[in-house]
Amino acid sequence: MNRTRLLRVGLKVLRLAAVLLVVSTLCFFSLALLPGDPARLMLGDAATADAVATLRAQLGLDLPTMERFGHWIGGVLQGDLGESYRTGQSVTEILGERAPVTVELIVLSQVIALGLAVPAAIVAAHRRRTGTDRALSLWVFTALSTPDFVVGVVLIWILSVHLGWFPANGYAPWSDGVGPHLSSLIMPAIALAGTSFALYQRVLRADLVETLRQDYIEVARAKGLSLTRITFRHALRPSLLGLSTQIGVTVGMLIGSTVVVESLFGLPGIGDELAGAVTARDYVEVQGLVLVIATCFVLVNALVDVLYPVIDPRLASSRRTRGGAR
Amino acid sequence: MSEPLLQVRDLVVEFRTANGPLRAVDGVSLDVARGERVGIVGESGSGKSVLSRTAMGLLGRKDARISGEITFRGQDLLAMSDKQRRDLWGREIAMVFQDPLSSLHPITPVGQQIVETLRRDPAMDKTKARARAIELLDMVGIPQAERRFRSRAHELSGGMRQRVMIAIAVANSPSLLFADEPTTALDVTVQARILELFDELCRELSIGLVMVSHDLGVVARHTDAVSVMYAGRISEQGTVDDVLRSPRMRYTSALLAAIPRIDHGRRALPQPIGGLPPDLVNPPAGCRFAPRCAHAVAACADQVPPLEPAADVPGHAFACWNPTPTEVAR
Repeated sequence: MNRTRLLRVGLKVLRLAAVLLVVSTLCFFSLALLPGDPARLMLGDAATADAVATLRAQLGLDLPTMERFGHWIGGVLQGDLGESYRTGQSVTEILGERAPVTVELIVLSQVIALGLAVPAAIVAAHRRRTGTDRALSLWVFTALSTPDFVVGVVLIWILSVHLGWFPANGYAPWSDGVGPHLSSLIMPAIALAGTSFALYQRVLRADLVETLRQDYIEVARAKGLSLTRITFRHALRPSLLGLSTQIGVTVGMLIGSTVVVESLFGLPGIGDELAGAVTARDYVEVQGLVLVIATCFVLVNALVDVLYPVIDPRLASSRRTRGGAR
Repeated sequence: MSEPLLQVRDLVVEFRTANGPLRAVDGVSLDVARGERVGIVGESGSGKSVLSRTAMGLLGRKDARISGEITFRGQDLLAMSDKQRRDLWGREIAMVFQDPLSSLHPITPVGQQIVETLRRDPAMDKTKARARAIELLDMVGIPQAERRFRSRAHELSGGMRQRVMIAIAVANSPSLLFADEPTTALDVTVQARILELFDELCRELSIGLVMVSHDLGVVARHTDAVSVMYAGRISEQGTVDDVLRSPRMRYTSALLAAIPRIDHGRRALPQPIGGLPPDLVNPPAGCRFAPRCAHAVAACADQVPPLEPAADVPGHAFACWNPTPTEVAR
C-alpha cells in the first residue's frame, strides 16, 4: 500500500511539473508574438536605432527566441527567475516585496466571501423557495454579474468620498499600524470578494439542499436535536466537497482579478506589478510572475485534493477497499 | 396493558398536491399501551408511514393539514410547540427507520451518533456517554463494541447498521418506539435476529412499539395487536390472532391468500389481488377496496363501511359490508 501511495504522490508531482512547463512555454511564446519592443519602450521614441540595438544586445533580446527560452528555463530550474528589464531588480526580490500584499488581499477577500456565503447558504437552504431564498439569490446574481472594478468604484464613492471611512487609494504597510493597514485593504478585499461570495453561496446552498433531504437528517431530527446542531454537526460537513472544489478554482482565478483591483486601489501587489510589466513588455518579469501565479493555482488545487478525504473519510476508505461491506 | 401510552383519534392527514388535496391518512384511531407491540400492515402507499411519522410528530402542521387527536401520556402532541415535541424525541419517543445505511450519518463514527443522543440528558457527561454507548452497542449484539465505536456506517454490515440504529433509538430508554419497515432492507436471516432484538427490548424496557410493515409474517410473529391499513383507512383492527387467523374484512383475507405458502401444497397457489390501490386524490365513494374486491356487494360502491367491532369478539373491528364468514377463515 505504501508503494502505491508513493507512486501516486510521484505521479501528482510529475503532473504538476508538466502543467507548469506547458504554462511557461505558452506564456513565453505568446509574449514573443506581442508587438512592441522593451528596449524601444525603455529608451523612448527619440532614441537612435544604434542605442536601441545596444540595449537589445545588453538585455539579450537579439538572441533567437528558442535560445532565450532555453536560457530562461535553465535559470528557472536553478531557482533564478531572471531580472526585470526595467529596474534590473531580480524577479524573486520583486515577488518577495509584492506577494505578501496580494496574498493578504486574497485571504482577506476569502474570509469576507466565506463569512457571508456560508450563513447565506444555510439560511437559503433551510428556507428554500421562500421569499428569503429568492431575495438572497437575487443578491447573489447581482454580485455575480457585477465586475469587481464597478464594485470597487461604488465602494470608493460611498465609503471614501461620502462617508470618509477608508482611504480611497494607496497602501499602508503593517508598520503604519494595524488599523490603517487593514483600512487600506478592506475595500479592495470587499471588491474582490463579490464573485467568490456569489459562487460559494450557490454551490453550498445546492449541496446543503441535497444533504437536508437525506434520511440521516430526519434521523437527527427524530433524536430531538436542535436545528442549529443538525445544521452544523450533521448537514454542513457532508456538503463541503463542492465548496472546496469551488474555492480551489476561484482562488486561482482571483490572482488574475487582483490585476484590476490592485491597480484601481493603488496596492503594490503582484497584480499591479504584472499590469506594469506587460505594458512595458518586461518579458522576463511577466514570465516569472505568471509562473509563480500558475504554481500557486496548481498548489491550491493540489491542497484541495488532499483535503477531500479529510472532509469526507469515505473517499479515503473507498480507495483502500473497492466497494465495501454490504 | 394498563394506561394508554399513545392514543390516536380520528387522525386525518392531508397533503396539498397539484391535483388537489391528497388524504394519506383518513380517520385513523389507534391505541398503544406500555410494553405492547402494535403492528400496522398495508401495501406501499397505504398511509402507514405517514401515520407513524405524524403520530410521532415528525410530520407537523407545517407539512400537512392535520386534524384529529394524538395524545402521548395524556399530552396533546399536536398542540405542543416545536420545542416541547423535540424534548420528547430521542428521550421519550424514538424511531427506527427503514434503510439503516442512509439513516446513519456517513461521516460521524457510529459511536458518536449514539453519544449525541445520550447527551440529550444534561446529566450525561462525555466520558459517561461514551461508556454507555459502548454498553448499548454490546447490548444490541455488536461484537467488539469498543472497536466498532469508531467505525463509520459504510464499514458495517446491513444488520450491524440496523443494530446501531436500534441502539440510538433505545439509548435513552424511550417509552414509545416507532419502527418503520425496520427489516425491509435486510436479508431474511438478519431480519429474524433484528426482530428478536425488538421483542427482547420491548419486554425488558417495557417499550410500547409501533411496527410498520408490509410483511404480514413479520407482524404475525412479532406484534400483539395489528391494524390493517388500506388507502389511508384502517380496514381491520384487533389482536394478531383475531385478525390474521380469522380475518373478516375482505382485504385482509385477500392479503393472506396472496402469501405463498410451502405447507399448503400445490393446490393452494397464492392468489394475487388484481388491480391497483385507488388514487387518493379522487378516492372511490364507498369502500376503497371495492373496485378490487371479488366479494363486493351493491352497498360497497357508494357507502363507506364503518369500522365496527365484531359481535362475538369486541376487540376485533373491521370495516366491511360483506365480511368473510368466520368459519371459512383459516
